[in-house]
Amino acid sequence: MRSGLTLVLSLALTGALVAMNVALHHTRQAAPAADPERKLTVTTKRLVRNLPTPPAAVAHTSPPPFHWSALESPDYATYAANLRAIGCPERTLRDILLPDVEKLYFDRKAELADGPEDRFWETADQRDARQRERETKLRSLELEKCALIRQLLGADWSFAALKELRSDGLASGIMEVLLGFTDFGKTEHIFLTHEFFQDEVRAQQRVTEGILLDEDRPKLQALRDGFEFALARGLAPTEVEELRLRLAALEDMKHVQRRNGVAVTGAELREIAKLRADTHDMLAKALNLDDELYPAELQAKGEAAFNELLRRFLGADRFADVERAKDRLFRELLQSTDNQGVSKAALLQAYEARRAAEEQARQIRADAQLSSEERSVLLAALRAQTTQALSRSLGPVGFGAYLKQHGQQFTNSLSLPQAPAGEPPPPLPPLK
Amino acid sequence: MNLRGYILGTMAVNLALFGALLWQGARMPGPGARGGVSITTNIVTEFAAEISPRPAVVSVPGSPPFRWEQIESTNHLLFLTNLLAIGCPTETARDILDARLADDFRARLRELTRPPQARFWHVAAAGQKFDELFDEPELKKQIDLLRAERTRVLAEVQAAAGREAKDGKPGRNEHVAHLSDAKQVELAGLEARQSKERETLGRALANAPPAERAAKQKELRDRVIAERRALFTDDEWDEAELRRSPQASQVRELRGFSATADDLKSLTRTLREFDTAQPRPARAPGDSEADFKSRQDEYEAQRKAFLAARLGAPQFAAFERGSDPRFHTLLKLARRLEQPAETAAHWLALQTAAQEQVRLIRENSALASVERAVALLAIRAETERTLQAAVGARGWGAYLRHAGGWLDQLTP
Repeated sequence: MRSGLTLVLSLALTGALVAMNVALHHTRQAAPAADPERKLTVTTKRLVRNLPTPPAAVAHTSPPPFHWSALESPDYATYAANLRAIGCPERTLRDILLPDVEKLYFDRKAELADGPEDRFWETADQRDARQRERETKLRSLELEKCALIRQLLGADWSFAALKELRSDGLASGIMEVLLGFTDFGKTEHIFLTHEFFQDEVRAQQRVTEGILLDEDRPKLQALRDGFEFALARGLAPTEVEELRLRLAALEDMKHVQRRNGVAVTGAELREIAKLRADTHDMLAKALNLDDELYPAELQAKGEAAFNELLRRFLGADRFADVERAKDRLFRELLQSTDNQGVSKAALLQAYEARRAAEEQARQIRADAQLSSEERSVLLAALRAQTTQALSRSLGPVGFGAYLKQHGQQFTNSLSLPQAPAGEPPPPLPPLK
Repeated sequence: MNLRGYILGTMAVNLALFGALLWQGARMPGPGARGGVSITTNIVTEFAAEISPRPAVVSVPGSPPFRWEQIESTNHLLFLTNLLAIGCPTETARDILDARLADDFRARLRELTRPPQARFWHVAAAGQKFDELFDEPELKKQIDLLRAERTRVLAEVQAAAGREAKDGKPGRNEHVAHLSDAKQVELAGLEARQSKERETLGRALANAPPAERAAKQKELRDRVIAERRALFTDDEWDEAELRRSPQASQVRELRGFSATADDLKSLTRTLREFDTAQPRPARAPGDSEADFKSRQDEYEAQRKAFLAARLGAPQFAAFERGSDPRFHTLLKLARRLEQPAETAAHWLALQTAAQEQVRLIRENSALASVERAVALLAIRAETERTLQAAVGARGWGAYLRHAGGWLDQLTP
């Protein structure tokens, strides 16, 4: 009886082992086909760079020294795998593969350039059509390159963006200030993410020739949302928030500064930036998509909401300061008379006179009933009158400082436009 | 006994199957040896996402096998030397070092500039320049030192690995693309030599008296033109002159204009002929606004009459339309809506007709201002209705955004 049971158990074990062997065999057979990496490498053969000659094999017992040629492969995926296998850090791997891939695609894109044919006397339509066809091919190559980079490195790295960031140029300087609140790696993440999505937006605009149909909006909205999502993947929520506030401060609110007569502290400015970022889509703006995504009426509503919130935050007096600071005429008066002992009341008086003169000059120029000579006489009188008013308000020293910096604009704005060469506008009347 | 034999037999089979299982397991492709991310300089944050690498095919020589750590160094020059020593191609070594140097510099700069960043909002509120964030003397000194170090190390690396070769491929000059390849090469060489001569002369004459400088420059200019002219046959020269003319630029920008290469050349010559005979009026000193405008109108009327006579009415209309930037925008819109160019021409005709009506109403002094306002509103309503029907619902929003600004001018 016990022997029977043993036999049954043994047979059951045999069955199980047979099943496991068969399953394992099938898995082994299927494994290479399931590897998705093998698909792309067929089309992207690497050009192996000129390698120094490996040292000649010498017959001795010690193993041959390592040589880079052992890593090289015309297949990018193999090359990457080999580098990883010897412990090459991911960052270095990126710095090896990105320029390599870039050069490969640079050459392939160069092949799409115009041939030596003489096409000078083509119509613009023929030229445009050829250009559009080329753009389509270039875009297709770009997408292929991006897919290869994503496959090799697991992220959307852009060699061009990294090069820009690493240069000593303007973009890296702006990044240093704008993104100084993050660490080095996060700055890189923000910059590269922005560049990637901006490239996508530009590609979309090229495809649509800048003509936006209503049906294009969802695609652009998806890009804007993708940008936010990608940013959030590498940043804490507080960092995304700080980025939005800094964008608001640097993009839209340059007039809200003490230099322009608005008494705000740094903490207050940050609060104002928050009001701005809550009523405007700063991330859409960063991709130059705000006009595409938000119709003019909606943008006007956002602006009105911001102004109302700002008025409540600052109070009526300081809000009036902000409104004045938007006007170039006021900023010119304020900044040129800074440190000249001009009181705020005197400055406001001068500003009102200056603004009124500007409006009168506009009316004189637009009056079709007046002859050219009459306009000229009236503008000269207005100039003299405004000169006296400004001099009275600002005092001789303040007015002198204003004229020194903005005298030419002052004269031009209260004169006839397009004075013919050789006929300078009448000189300013002498100061009293 | 039989039963015992069966049991032993199945146990033997089981042992064999278990062995087979172990053998197959050992031959299964593993997850692959993953390169450890161990940057010895320890400066940056890694962002590479998890990916499943292809199994390495390299057979790493050496005992123990070679590891990247063996060549790593925070000393850039030593790292470069190590890379080259294992046979890394110079170009690859330069790519690695360029990137590493730049990142190292940026990371250290960020550490230096982090403390003043706390004053960002204060500086922004004051309206100071952001450069002033880093104006503190000790900080500036450290930044300058860092820059100097970067320049020095970069020079060392470039001395060892060479500089990146720039692609010096000259661009094509389509104005002389009618010349043979050999002549184009010869011309490019001539222009390069002449450019160097101009530079040399400029340096040599930097302190020369103005009269002498002018004379020498004229001499060179005349010689440059003569040398260039000598390369061309008469026909080639005429063609090059035609291509360089402003009329050629205008003709090449015509949109929605069907023409052969010969047609375009002929049109260019026609335009040039008129412009040479009748230069566009320039504003003279003392000209009144009205006089100048009247001379301009007269010139335009003559030009139109001349071109209409030469081209024929339909071709002249196509020329006028093709030069119109409004038509260029409408053509793009039509293309996006998969409409033919004729549709864009129709939209433009509607716009032109409406604008002409508006002009007549504005200039009609017999109308009272209320009558004028009512008439303008009526035109706007009718024009919008007609245009909307012509453009269609799919493109109407785009029309308003990209080409509809003129509709606002119809408002009284």
